[in-house]
Amino acid sequence: MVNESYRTSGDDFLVKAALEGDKAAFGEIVTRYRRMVAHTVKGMLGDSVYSEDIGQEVFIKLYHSLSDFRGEAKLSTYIQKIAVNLTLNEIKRRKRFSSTFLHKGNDELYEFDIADDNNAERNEIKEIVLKALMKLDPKFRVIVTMRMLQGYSTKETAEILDLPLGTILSRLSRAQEQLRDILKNYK
Amino acid sequence: MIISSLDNEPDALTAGSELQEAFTLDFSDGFEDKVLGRLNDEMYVIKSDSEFNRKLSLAFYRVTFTATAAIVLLMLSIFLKEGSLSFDSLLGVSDGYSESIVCLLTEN
Repeated sequence: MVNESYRTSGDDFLVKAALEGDKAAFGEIVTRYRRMVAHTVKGMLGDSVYSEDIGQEVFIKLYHSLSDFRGEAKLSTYIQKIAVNLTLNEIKRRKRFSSTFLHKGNDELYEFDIADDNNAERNEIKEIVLKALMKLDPKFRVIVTMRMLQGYSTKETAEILDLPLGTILSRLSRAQEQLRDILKNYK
Repeated sequence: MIISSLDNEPDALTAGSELQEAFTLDFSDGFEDKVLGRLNDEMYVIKSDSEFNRKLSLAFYRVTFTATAAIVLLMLSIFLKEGSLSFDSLLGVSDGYSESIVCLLTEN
């Protein structure tokens, strides 16, 4: 369904084409940003089939809100905002459901189905990192995911999360301390 | 590697760190098709809904037109028969005396 000629097109052109109903253009946007969304969603919810559903929701919400995209920010920032919001909502929903019906601990809310990419060491790192991340409070987890796993700058992270730079830095510092404590056994 | 990435100062973390290279996450194959498939399904539902609404409003207009025509014909026939469109004529009691109506209603 993805049109090869769109591979070299700019985001603005793809958005315009998608708004005119061109599904192939939207397919190219999905191809371009699926890994970024996967890092956000799976980094915060764990690597499971449920994360795939949230990933799909992100792009469906993007499709419906494309007309609101004015091009003032980068498309990636716009998509990342949607991904972060939907993922945080899902975490809240799980916590609410769990505290009402299941009485599970915070780190039991997440499932892991680490995809085998034929690299045992890489899979092990993924599993260790994801399990450690799930032990963090969501407000720290989202910052670690964006800054450390996706390489966003502090400024970009602050812009996406609508938080002051100082808050990002202090939360990241506290998250690093907590992660260091969680991961000390793996040294 | 994971621990060493944590030893960096918060604002000195770089985009190309070792951890980012090792930590790759992606959705399963055919993710794009699943997203586009879900969008197509949604569009089909929206299309079906709008088709239903169109048919419903068409049916409403037909019923309204027929009812209005029936009311006009009824009023016309009352006017021709009774010679006026008074409240009594509309109720069909213009010929009766008030006493006989009272008797009729009270069954006495």
